Amino acid sequence: MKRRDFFKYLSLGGAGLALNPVVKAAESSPLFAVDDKPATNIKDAIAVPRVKNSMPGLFPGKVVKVVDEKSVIDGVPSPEAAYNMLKESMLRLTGEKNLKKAWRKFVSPKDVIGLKVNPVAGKLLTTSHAVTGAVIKQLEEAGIPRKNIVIWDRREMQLQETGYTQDKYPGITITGTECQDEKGGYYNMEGKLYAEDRVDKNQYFFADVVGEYDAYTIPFMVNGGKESYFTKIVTEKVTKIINLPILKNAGRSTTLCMKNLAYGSVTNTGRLHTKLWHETSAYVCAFPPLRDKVVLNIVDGLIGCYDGGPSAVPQFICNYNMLLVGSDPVAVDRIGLDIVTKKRIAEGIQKDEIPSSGRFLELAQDLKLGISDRTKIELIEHNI
Amino acid sequence: MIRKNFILLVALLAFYSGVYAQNGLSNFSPSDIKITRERDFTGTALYGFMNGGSDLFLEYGFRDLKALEITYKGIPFTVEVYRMPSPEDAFGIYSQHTFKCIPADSRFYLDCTSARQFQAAEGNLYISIVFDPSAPMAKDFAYVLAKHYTTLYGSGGKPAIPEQVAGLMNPGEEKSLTLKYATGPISLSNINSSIMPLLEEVKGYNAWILKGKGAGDIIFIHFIASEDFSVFSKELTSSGEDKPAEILSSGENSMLLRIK
Repeated sequence: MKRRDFFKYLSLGGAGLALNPVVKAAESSPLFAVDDKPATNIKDAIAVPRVKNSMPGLFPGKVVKVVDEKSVIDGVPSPEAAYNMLKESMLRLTGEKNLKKAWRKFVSPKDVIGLKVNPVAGKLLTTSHAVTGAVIKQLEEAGIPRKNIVIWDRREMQLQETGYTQDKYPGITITGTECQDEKGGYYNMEGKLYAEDRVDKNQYFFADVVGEYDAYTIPFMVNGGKESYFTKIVTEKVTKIINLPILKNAGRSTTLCMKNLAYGSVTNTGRLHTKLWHETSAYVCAFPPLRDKVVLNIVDGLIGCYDGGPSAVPQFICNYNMLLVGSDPVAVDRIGLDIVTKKRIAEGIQKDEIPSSGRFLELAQDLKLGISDRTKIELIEHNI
Repeated sequence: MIRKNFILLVALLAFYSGVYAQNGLSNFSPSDIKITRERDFTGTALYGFMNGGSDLFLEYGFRDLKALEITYKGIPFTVEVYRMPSPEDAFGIYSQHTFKCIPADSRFYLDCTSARQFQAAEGNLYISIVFDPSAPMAKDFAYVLAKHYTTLYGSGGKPAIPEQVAGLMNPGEEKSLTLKYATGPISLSNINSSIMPLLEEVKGYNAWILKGKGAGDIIFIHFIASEDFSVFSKELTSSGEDKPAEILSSGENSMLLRIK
């Protein structure tokens, strides 16, 4: 067995058939120099000059982990605990003593702030309302009006199903790319998907893999072909993004900051799971709508899972009782991956660390989106 | 003696009917089911339900899903009925979800229960029922509901377990604990990834895996095409010291292996 093959298959079944493709683009790093990979337009992303807010943001390589063992009471995340944990996280991340000042390092009242939640696993394992509520409360305390806050994800339907409703969040916009009308239909009178008007066809992730979908599937993919279009939520609607993923696995890897952003922001993702999982997780985040707008990542680990993800399989759901916070999504994902991996080993799901599980982190580091080398990450831990 | 046995029989019947009634199994009525939300997903539309999690189901040939939010006697349940192409595929996807699930393997062909979920493989169906463990009777009602939905949607039939594998199982051994079935790289690598590099050039195969049999897992792998069998055999025998498995026996387009 060749060493190359060995590592290739260690990653199978988790993030998909992992080591297959990478860009043909002649990047300087060896990671981008593999010839037998489908071409992508990652060069287009790299060509756009970085801005002040570009990933990894204000605190490269810095991650705060706050644990409160009493943060989940009778299976329900506590809003009070979440608020305190978030407060401690923000103060420690920024070094500020004043919570408002801590938040104002990232956002201002002029911003339209998108909270990217993750409802895909349904009610059992969504970004908790305790954490989302805590973020909103602290944003308001920092002077951000509710009308400037947007809760969003790829599928509006799943937001509704998991309780992200106008009733529960008055004054806040709740929106998704894929959507239905009040009768449950996906198409307008002209036979056009409602979602088509919500994507920006000028900004896309190209990969030389064709998405082909039947009539059942297309409402969830919006388009087929080789382009995955960005949602207008990130290209037009919001000026800053606060990322709120859940601490959960995706096969043998994780679906944390980068995966939540990448797969939640573009269409035509069905073609990207099996062969391009790592590449998509890293590359899509390198495009300006995400790279330049995501200012903060708050991993909701009050309740998470260690297997069965990204779906919610009850026997694998657990209380991690923690938040992971940082501006650097790569560093946060590295710490999160280590935590989930440790739990998987402890529970007997896998025997050892699988280096290839974090390949997307290396790709992201190479794209200068953050720091994946754990020896260079400053992890600040605090127990309440 | 006859009289004694008769009394014993009556006592047993009384006991079981009591348990049956207590579990709410005797007075099941579909009218007690209130559907609060119903969704159907066909083929790759499963992406609309679980995104990347779909790939595993699709590898098994997933046909369609009936996803229901219901209440039964006022207690909420989430019911997912996955229709697969065959009993083998239904068993396969079930076998991917049995970790920390306490098997019964008696009420259905295969079934197990964890703190918040009842799962079963019956015929061509894989069924999952999630309940709130704090709700009284929820666990028992989950079983009743599973019976109802398998009757409603199922086709019957049992997976055909190859003799080479069945012969290695102990009588009464709980299949939910030891037996797995895979139909491609995602499902097989979830169970045991040792031989994956040897399958790189192989297109179609299925594999039965017996977990924890002595020194290592035992895999019975069957190839759809003889060319693939030849490729795999060549790769395995030329692996040298790195050979991940020893050959226990070989048949027509199939091989029984013990993973090192």
